[in-house]
Amino acid sequence: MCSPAPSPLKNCLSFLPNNMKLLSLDFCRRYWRTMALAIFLFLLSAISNLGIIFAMVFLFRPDVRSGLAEVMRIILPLPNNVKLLLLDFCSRWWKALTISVIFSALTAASGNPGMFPAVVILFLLRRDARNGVAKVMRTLPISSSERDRMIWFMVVLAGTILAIPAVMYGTWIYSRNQTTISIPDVWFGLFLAVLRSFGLAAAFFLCFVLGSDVRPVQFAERLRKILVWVIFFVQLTYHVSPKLETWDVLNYILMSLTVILSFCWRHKIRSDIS
Amino acid sequence: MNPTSAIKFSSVEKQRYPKFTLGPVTLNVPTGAIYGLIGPNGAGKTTLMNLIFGMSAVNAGAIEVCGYDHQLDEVAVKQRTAYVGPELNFDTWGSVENAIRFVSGFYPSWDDGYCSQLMEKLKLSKNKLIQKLSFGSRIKLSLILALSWRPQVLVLDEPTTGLDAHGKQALFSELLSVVKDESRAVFISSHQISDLERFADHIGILHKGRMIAEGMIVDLLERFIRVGFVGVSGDAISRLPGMFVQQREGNQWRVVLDTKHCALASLTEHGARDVQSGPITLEELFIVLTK
Repeated sequence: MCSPAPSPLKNCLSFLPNNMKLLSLDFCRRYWRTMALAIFLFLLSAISNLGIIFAMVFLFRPDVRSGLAEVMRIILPLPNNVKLLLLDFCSRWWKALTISVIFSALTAASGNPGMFPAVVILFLLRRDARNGVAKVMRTLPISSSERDRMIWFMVVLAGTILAIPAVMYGTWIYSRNQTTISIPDVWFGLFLAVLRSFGLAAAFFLCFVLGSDVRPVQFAERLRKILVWVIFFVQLTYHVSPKLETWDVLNYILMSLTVILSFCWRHKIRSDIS
Repeated sequence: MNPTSAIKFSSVEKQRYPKFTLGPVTLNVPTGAIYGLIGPNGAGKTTLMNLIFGMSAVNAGAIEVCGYDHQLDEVAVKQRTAYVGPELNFDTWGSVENAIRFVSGFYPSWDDGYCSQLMEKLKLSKNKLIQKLSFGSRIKLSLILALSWRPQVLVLDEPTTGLDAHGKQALFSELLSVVKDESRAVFISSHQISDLERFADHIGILHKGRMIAEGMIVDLLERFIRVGFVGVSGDAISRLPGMFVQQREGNQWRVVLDTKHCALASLTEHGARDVQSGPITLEELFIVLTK
């Protein structure tokens, strides 16, 4: 007779004695709606540094982490091997990722909160590569295009997604301090901040991807590099202002283009990170 | 698909900036065979093996593994081929158990029972921290991770480096059991020529990026023979094609002869006397060809 597979929730609670586990599970079963509401309220109230720190520390407890990994493995709409790589990266570097998100929360009011996790992820990938992890990845049954897509996803999208609580916090702080705010509401501000964050992460990604390698650089590659540096510096000219001006709108369009460009050029990832 | 070649390199060339050029290399690793690749340091052995896994791109030629193109069917190739090399580093996963858990997720054919057997045979514990493992034990870990999912083709880049005699014995007995199944093959590079001579069926000698001798060991050792003779004072004999001088003291010559290009009789035609021939070892052949 086959024994039933342990549920993720049971795994999460494996640190408790058996009786405690039974009581907790029973409690969860009976009061899950109340708890869900409490978590929702907690997340709402987590727009303070302390709240974010507590939330992250709780979420990344090893037991909770393994449960979350199980859930992510089921729900992530990605090929199985890519999912395994993503989850493996997160489980190995969760401390660095947590710190980067907390740091981006602390610097949220600067206007570019999502940039920091993107840079951290890039450097973690590079560190992994230097430690021989890239070579291990190369031997696994994953295609180069899947691997490049995963690296792009992690640097350009995941950094910002991870930093969304911080972006929310930053936008809220920023809009609260403005006396004459032209941005219609906080949620539109949040959207713009996320877009800004994607754009900067994509520019970082491109700068890194097209960084000079040992081999001689060709003319087309040199042109691409110049274009990316121009995009990067134009993006840096953005400053958080109470009014959305034409230049800002153009900059947001450029940011969106950078994200698309980074996706198109993702396969040019340098050998020392892939 | 049931190809007779497990790995097939067809005129493969690779240029590495600024000056090293590998190839053109043509070689064929048959199924059910252990193919040994030998060559001096910097000959291009690791580069050649890395090409199979796309660790760098080929400039010309094609590589096929089990009938699949290594670029067009990258995933299919990697689903059938395992790699062991000194550059693989599993430190970042912390413990041996974590590394096994990570790698096993990628292979549906992973055999936990076989993995435990190998751990026992190679005396490696699951709870050990990888950072605290010796170099030899790290190689053992790579071997376990490569063998446990029973790949069709094993590519081993200097796997005996750092292994003690027991470890080597266990490794080669495992490799022999792998090729008992005739649809599988082993492609191994090593500096332990005597080990390869005992266990491999085929050998390729790579020198300065070129394959200078390739084939079944038995055939190669029949083709090349050691010859001693008393020669004439002129240098005409030393310019014979297929003759490699090992030692010369006055008129006393000791050479290795490639009988494919230079028959024994041609020596006497050039004035050689007291010609004595004998078999050669693989190590001697290697030294002579790569001098």
